[in-house]
Amino acid sequence: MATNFASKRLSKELSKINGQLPPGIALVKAEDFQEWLLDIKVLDQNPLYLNQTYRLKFKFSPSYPIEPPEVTFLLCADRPIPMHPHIYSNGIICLDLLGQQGWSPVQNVESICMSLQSMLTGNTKNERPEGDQQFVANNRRRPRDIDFYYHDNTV
Amino acid sequence: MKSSKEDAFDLSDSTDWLETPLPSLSSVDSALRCQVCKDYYTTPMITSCAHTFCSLCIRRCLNNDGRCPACRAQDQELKLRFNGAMEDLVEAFKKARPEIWLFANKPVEVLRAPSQSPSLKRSLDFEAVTKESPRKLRRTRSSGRNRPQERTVVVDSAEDDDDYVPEEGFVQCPVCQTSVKEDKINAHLDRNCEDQPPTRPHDKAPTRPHNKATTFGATDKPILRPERLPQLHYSMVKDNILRKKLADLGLSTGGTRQQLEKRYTEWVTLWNANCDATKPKGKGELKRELDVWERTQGSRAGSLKQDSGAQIREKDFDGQAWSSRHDDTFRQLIANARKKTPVKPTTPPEAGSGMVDLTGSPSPMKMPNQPPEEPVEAQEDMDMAYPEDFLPQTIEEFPTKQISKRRFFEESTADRSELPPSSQYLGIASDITTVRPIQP
Repeated sequence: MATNFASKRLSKELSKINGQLPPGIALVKAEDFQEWLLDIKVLDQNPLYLNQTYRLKFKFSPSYPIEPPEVTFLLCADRPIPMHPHIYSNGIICLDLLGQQGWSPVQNVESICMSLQSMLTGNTKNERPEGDQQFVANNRRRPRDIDFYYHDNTV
Repeated sequence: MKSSKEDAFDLSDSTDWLETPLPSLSSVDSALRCQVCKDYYTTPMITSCAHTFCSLCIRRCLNNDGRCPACRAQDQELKLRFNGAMEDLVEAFKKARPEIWLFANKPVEVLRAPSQSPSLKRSLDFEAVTKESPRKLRRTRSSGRNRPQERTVVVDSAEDDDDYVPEEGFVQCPVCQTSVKEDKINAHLDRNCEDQPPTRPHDKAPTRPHNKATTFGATDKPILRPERLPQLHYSMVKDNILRKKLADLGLSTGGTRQQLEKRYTEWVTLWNANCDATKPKGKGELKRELDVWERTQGSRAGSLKQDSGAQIREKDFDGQAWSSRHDDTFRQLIANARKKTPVKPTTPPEAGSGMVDLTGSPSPMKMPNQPPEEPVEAQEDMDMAYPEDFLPQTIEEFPTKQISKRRFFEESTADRSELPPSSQYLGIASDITTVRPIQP
């Protein structure tokens, strides 16, 4: 059976993740090399995210890591979508790291989780992005096809 | 894809060392791995920004966005240079790894045993290591070059000129000091020693002239260095020429234009990466690799771009400049769209009412409870397809809009009277009305 480079690389990442992960990151499900679920927590005392756990869904294309994975927050019973001016209420994340432009193949699942952790940690605004309602109601595209306009360099 | 898990089971990772008594080896191990594939470097190439990646990995990355994965600096495939020292290092470490691993995972008491004269133990270990490692290195390098003689490994050749005994059937060239098959020595000298592989063949690898296929391992079977292939500017290549190029390479010419381009790109990438390798693979093996790629990526090749304009856009596309440059056009489009909007919601009912007026057919409509949204599209279809008396359905539900409706109706009937029913105008009108249910 053919092994493509995405599976190879993901299997390496998986074995590493199974070994150990940075604090606040936990693997929930990784049964194949197409979709993984991970939980992240914000570790400091930021009141917005205190005592909350958020679920992340990673979707990998066969061109990973040349192409970025599709990463969204997943809404579950006890897993809300974190409040952030760059996270839409349907879980889509506007982060240049996850777009074609900001992505680099040296990034990995672990580094993405850590970036998201720090993106939450640094946030003080309890708000959704501008036009959240409209976007959530109308968006039928997949995150990788959306042209985000990255304007906020403070994140 | 699950089955691929099984055959990818060489899952060694730099973090493996952390649980052993030699955790510091973790950083050594990690420094010998490519950041893209997380595996030990295969044919390491160094970029102009001095980062090293596997040849295949960096070529794929540069094909994708033309930037170094580590620092995002722009770079080109042409500027890649072989990092021979890194390859030697990787080969040496890979060979030594099992031994070190065994050593690191020895039962702890052997290592710790304090009573067993630790100094002796250490000196023994030290001796073993010093004895072992240089020999390893040599073997690795020479086997890496696929050359039977150890000669190239020795850096300072003058030192052992005297005691150097060439292998049987070989003589030492008096000019370049390398050993050459006895029956080839004269030819070798005639060519000014040029058929001899350089001591560090890789220094020349990327700049080697294409027409002169250098031979490696001159003593036994010569390996032909393949020529590098240029990437194509696909926008300048027509379909049939691309097909012909693929056919000339012995590759499949099936699939969409997209797939053809991707296949050609991947082939060139595989091929050029193979040209960098110390021991290039045969074409057959490359074709198998392309086949694997095709099966795991190819199906996606077709679907990748059809759905998004974003893929086609350049990476450095300046959206702001674009939008300011075309601001007027956008404004006009918006204005045009606005002009039409008040008309939109009214079209269907008013078309109905108009029909009623014209034909004088019995008073319309009687479904006051009907939700206003849902019938619109169906009704519009009917408008196109059926005679007038089918239409009047929802007039009463929009009493306040009657006036504007009527006005539009008059225009539209005027148009209708002038134009055949199949005219473009009707087509546009129907488009507008079918859009309507989406409007809030």
